Amino acid sequence: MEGGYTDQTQPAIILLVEDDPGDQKLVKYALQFQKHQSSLKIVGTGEEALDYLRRSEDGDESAPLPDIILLDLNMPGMGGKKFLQSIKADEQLCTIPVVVVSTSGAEQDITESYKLHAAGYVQKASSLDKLRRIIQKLTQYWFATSTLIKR
Amino acid sequence: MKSETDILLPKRRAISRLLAATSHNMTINHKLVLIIMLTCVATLIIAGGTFTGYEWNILRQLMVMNLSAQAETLAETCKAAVAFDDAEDAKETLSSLRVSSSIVFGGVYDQQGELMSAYYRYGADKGVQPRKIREDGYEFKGDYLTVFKRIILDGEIIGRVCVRSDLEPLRRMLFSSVKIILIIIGVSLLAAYFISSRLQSVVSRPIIKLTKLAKAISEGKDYAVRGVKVSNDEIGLLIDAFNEMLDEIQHRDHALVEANKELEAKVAERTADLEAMIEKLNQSNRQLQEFTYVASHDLREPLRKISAFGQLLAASLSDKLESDDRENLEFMIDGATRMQMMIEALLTYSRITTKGVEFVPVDLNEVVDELKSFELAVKIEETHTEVEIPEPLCCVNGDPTQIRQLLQNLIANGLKYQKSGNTPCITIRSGIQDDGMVRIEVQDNGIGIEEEQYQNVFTMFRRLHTRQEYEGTGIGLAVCKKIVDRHGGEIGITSVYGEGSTFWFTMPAAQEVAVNTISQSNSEGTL
Repeated sequence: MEGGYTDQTQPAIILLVEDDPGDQKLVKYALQFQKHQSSLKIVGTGEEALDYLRRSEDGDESAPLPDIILLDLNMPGMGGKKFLQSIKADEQLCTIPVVVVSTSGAEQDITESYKLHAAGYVQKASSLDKLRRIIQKLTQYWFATSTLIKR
Repeated sequence: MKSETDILLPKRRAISRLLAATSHNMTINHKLVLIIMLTCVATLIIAGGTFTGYEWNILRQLMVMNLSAQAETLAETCKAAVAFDDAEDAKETLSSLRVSSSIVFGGVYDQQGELMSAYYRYGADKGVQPRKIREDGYEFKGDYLTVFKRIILDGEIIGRVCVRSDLEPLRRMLFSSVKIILIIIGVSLLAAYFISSRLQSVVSRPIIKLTKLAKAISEGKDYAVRGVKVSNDEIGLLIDAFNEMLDEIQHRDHALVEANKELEAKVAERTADLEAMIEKLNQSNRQLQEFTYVASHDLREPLRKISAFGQLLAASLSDKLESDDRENLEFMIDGATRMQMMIEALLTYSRITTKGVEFVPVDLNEVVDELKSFELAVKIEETHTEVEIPEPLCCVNGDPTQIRQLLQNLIANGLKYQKSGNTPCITIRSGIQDDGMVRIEVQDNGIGIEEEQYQNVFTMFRRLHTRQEYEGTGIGLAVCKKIVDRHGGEIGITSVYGEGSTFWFTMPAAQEVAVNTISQSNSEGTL
């Protein structure tokens, strides 16, 4: 807990864009063990995520603007890449770091994600332990090590 | 007959050879003119020669007749002078010979053959008189014609007369004849030249035309043109034969063009077939890549869930389950985890050919150094392994990521298959073979492999040990073999069972020393 703007009273807001209920649950589970308090908002598709972000911009209390977005690539509808493209094209939303969390290790997916200005690319872990470590490293980095924009 | 062929034939051959030699570079019309003119000259020479010979003969006869008549007259006239032995009278009679300028000597001889009286042409010396007296008759001897005549009185020979003439008239006649013949030859040659120059074209023109046609055809390759036949002689036949030949050539040319077209069509067809096949192959390759993607993403997804939620379940039920049930659950989770590992390994194996990059020079020293400090660092430290490189390693030409993978698998193998309690020692050597390939050996002091298993270790999913003994998917060495195959090399093993193994492989040598460092892309992707 050297840097970072978050303190225990004001938890960081994570928006998880993930269609798989299992993965939603696993991320939620893994976050329970983290030192950094965070509030997890979950949407199932890219369209829902865009809708959420629009509501945030309109000042909807139930949809606070996220500090970081965890994005799955393979989703029904517009999918992860289209969503990434859309928010990176938006002047307001493009500042939110988006970390892609995908099962795919395909080079094409990784390259494309970074080209679309993803802040990181993480392959989904094969075991629960690994997942916990990944989430820990993610929160540690984004909420303790790096400095985020104040909302 | 024999002598004629013996003599004439070589002569004829010599002439035609001479003609051939001089006319080697002549055009056909010049040759024709030359031949006609030579013939003409030869004919004229023969005709002139014959005529002159004939005339010469006649003139001789005439001279003999004249001189004989003169001698006869002289004999009659001198009869009295001889009978009375009157030399003066005889001399007077002889002086009448003066009128004939060609007579050089006239003489009257007595019965004993003594010269009574003589006439010499003015300016001639005494030497012109004949040395011997002959009977009646004439004689051509030296430059003279000599006639003797007996002087007969009352049936008794009382003396002889001799008249000698030079051959000047004959010579004059011969000279003028030759002159005339030469003039005739000259005029005839001119005439022959003009006439033959005009008439030779009858023969030469069709030939020249044919020659030009042949040249034009050989240059222009137009086999549709034909020669025009104007006569029924040999040239006409030649033109016919030429045209027939052209027909044949045109026919063959046409056939050739047709065959060519057919061939081109066939080639095009085959090319199209090949293209279609390539397209099919590309398509199946794309399908394979799609499958790889599906396998890497969609198939792993549910497995991940099984193991993750299995683990979640195991954690939440840890104190509620019977030990047997807990073991069952662990087996389930373990199975799912292993299947995940195998799918990963299978994908790695299939990516060797689908994801390979172009070959570049790779410095093996750097690769081993990096493996020691990154990928294998933890294992080396845990096991206190010694990695020895007695001599600097060679540079090879290859895919940097795959070579790194290859060496990583081989070294990791040496670390893994050890007797418990043994400190692993890995020795890496390299050298250039006679065929220009680099041979790399990775030697360990591990458990070794029995000889009958040498080939099996490179087979996919073929494991020599139980998972309880040594953990693994059984794909590591299969990946190594596929990488070496892709580089056109060989891989093999020698081992002393129980003492250690040496894995060796060959790779093409690098043309130049590697300057690029190998990227870190292969290290852990997950955080």
